[in-house]
Amino acid sequence: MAGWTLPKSLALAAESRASITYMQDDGSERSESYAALYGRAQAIARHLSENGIGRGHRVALLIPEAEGFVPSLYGVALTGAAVVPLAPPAHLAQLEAALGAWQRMATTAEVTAILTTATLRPMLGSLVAACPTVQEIWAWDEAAANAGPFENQARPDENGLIQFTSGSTSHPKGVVLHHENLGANVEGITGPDGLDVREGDVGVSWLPLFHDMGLIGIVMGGIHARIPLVLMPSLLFLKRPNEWLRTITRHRATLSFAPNFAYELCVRRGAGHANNGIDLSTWRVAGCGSEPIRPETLELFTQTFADRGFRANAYLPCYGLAESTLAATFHALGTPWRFDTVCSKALREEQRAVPCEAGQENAVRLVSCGRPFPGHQVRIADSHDRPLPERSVGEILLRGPSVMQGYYKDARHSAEALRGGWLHTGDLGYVAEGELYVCGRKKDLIIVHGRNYHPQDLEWVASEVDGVRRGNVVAFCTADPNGGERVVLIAESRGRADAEAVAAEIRRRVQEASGLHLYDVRVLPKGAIPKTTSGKVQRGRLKARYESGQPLHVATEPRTVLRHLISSQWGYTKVAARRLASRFGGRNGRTGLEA
Amino acid sequence: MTSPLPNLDERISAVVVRVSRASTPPDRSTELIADLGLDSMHLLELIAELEDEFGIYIPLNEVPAIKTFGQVVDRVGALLREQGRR
Repeated sequence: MAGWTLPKSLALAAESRASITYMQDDGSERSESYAALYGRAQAIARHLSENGIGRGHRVALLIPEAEGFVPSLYGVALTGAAVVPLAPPAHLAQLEAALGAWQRMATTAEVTAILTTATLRPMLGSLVAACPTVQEIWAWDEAAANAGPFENQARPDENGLIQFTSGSTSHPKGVVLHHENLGANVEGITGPDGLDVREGDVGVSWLPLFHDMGLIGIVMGGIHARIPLVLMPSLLFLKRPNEWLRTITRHRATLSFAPNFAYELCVRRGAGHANNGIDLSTWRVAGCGSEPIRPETLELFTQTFADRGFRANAYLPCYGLAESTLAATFHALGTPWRFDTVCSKALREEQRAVPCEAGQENAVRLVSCGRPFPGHQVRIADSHDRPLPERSVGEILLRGPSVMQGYYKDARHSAEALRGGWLHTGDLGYVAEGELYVCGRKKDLIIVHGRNYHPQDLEWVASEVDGVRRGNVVAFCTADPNGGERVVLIAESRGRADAEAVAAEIRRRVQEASGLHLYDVRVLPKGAIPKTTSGKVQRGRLKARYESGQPLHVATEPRTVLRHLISSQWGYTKVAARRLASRFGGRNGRTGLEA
Repeated sequence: MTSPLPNLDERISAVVVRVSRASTPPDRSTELIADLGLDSMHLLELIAELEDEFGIYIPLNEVPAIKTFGQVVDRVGALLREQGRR
């Protein structure tokens, strides 16, 4: 968007009567107007600027609570520096590992300074020592002490945000976004071809703020659209999923987004409880994205909450990735969500989406993720970047003003991702009747004897086996030293399942469903499968571990955003809790982090 | 440690069985994760259920130290005494 900067969007919101509400862990709420928020952001900007921070710099945010994170985000942006959000700390036992990840990210992004909390600050000494570019580290509330106006230094065509897609890799890639990329995306999301935000809209979110969906979609989008926002702690949602729905009820919210699993969790955990007091009749957009969307989930949630006023037309499935700021395609507002029933065999063997009857053998249902925003384009391409016709499966390419500038100081990966003027997403999909359907990841494709198998298909079959932890299955192929390929499947077991019997059943079912012989099946205790902070299984990582002969059943670091959040709130010893005091993760002790 | 309330074991056992969908009731040495297959999401669910059942607040930072069913019973009993509710 021409002329758009983050601070400008907040300055405009500050003229509205809308406010932002920070829910606490005990469910209590504190609100401030956007004008007050703008004031706090300006105070932080003054502090940063007086200490030499400005355009051309990068400031990392390590702030668990929204009440500190949001003004810091805009404070940094006001100075003209780019914001680098880092995931809040894992528990103390993993502080070393977390420090390692932050250090890699801070080094990669050449972070100039860090804004954090007063309690975390003393623990980040080694981070400052290890990153030569880091000059200063401040607690955000100390930095906010000096109130007063500050003139926006941000430029539309300069770095506004550097977001890391995964911190757990040895070479993290920082996605560089200009302010105008952010502007283009939030305008796409909130504009007439997106959510068509209107008077009376209210957004509710429990999504983490260090992750693109919560950060850009909710905070930046909500402020851009000048609507009231209610931010609830992620942990509160995980502990009591229906609190999400109660918060929507209480605030008569109209807009809320969450990944597929959140809807599933509400059904599973909500069933035993009375859904009394829940009224979802105001909820006009129930966004669903950031992980594969299952038709079964959407149907179940509708069934469960239809008598609470939930309308299936509210679903808005979407597709996107950090490299295209956040959102790339949206389902058309207010229209029934749709799925395509296709033959998984043809999908796999011919890379074609051939429609078939529901209930037919090999039938698989894929949810439409809709169309790109105005000014943005989607293309499906073969391995030589040649465009493919409708219903042919290929790599999803994107073009338009939301596409990133590149990875921070990583010319090789940037050139690879952005070749030919298109962002190569690495995701596989097809277009039918102009709408995008996502099938999987390109680099994960299993090719045996010239046939393509989507690991997701094999994983789905294995997930159905009794004793397997649903969704905790990884399939990949590895080279046979004697030539050819071997397919390996690793599953986490549930309860006291007999690992051998489960493995035998997985082999049988996969053979039956795909004709594929599994070379090796491992059934391991939970925690064996590594996941990214966005919850995607890390096939590559597990494969590397398998191929190098490392033990597979070691506990891995925090596996998803949510698991990360959980572990970041748990596991503190009492001594550690005392040291970390109350601000970290909850100020009134409801998260139990008080000494 | 003895239970401060009658039927405490049974009431907690019922909650654990409900959350874990275990086929047999746990005994004091039953491990929540290793034996019942609970994951971190289940543990959060268990905490919420126990809070509702007993009207107590269970600090999350204590959870990692609680590994067995017996420890759950002891901890809930102690919290009931501390927080003076039933």
